Amino acid sequence: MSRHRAPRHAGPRHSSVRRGSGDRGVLRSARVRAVLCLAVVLALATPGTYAHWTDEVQVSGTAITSGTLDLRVDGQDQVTGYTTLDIAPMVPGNSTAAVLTIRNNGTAPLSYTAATSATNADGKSLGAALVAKVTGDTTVTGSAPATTCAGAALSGSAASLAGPLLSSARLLAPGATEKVCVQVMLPTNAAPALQGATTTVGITFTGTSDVS
Amino acid sequence: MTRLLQALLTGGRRATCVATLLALGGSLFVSQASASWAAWTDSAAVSGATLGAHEVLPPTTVDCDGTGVLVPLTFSWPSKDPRYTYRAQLVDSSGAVRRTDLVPESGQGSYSVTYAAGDLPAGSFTVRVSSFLTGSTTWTSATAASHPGSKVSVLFVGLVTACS
Repeated sequence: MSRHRAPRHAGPRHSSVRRGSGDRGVLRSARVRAVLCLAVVLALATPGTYAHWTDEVQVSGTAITSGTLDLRVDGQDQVTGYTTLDIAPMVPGNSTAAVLTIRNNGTAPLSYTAATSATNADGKSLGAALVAKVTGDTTVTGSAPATTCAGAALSGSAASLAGPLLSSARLLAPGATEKVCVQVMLPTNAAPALQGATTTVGITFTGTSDVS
Repeated sequence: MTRLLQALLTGGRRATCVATLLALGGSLFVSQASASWAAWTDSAAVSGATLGAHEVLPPTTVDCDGTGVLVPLTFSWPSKDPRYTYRAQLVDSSGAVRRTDLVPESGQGSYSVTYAAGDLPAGSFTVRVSSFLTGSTTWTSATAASHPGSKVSVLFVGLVTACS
């Protein structure tokens, strides 16, 4: 009877304190914290399934039409047998020139470049020896065999008939036209071996839709 | 990954640095990637323009006039091209050029050069006439028109010039 029993809560109180400090120790573990973070991320990333009401409003009657791209030179897609630039026979210092009208016949803005080609059937390379000039002149100056484009050469225009003639793209709004003057000259120092040479020249204008 | 997470969660500076670098690199990659889009094209062309270079030609013919004793010989030729100048050369039997005359076109129908009997070499000779573009001496005719002549001594007569 005189035995005293220790209070029951004494032991457990002590053990609960220890258990609490043990939990904090576990949370301090980086691995456990990483796993918990991953679990939270996965839980947030997992899509839920919901039921909800819907409603809609329609806007109709909007017509969308694609634009057209149509580049023309002198009103045509292909001008064959173009004789305005013809000149024969040229001697050193002679030149020929012609004004071409470039038109954006489509409904979309475009920018265009130009390239030339020159045949060399006789192997004398007359085309490579000719000197080109492209200006914004609307008329030619002088008369055959010394017709010229009197203005300054356009930016990005080449002086050769072999390859690009207008490498800097020129913008044309829908329906807009632009005249370019093309001059071709046999330089005064042309080689005598070019005597009797002939070349046929073509100019291709390429328009590209412009989204700028 | 686990280690990275661990390092991040424990405040590891190295992992933070690596993650920052990865993020910056990714953003740079995205910002430098260029957009591409298709464009419509259409072309128009002119073709068939023919350009030809002149070929310098010699006179078609050369004629000679003036056979006789000590008679001057005149060699003439028709006009070929108003842009030409003609080069007349007196060539002796050995092929040496004894005299050269330049005769520019002047709107006439024919041109000529006259040699006094004393200027002509003894024996047979030839007058060759070629053409070149006035103002461009390099553009010359590849060939020449020519006519022979002679100056011979005839017994009891003297020096006789002839167009042969």
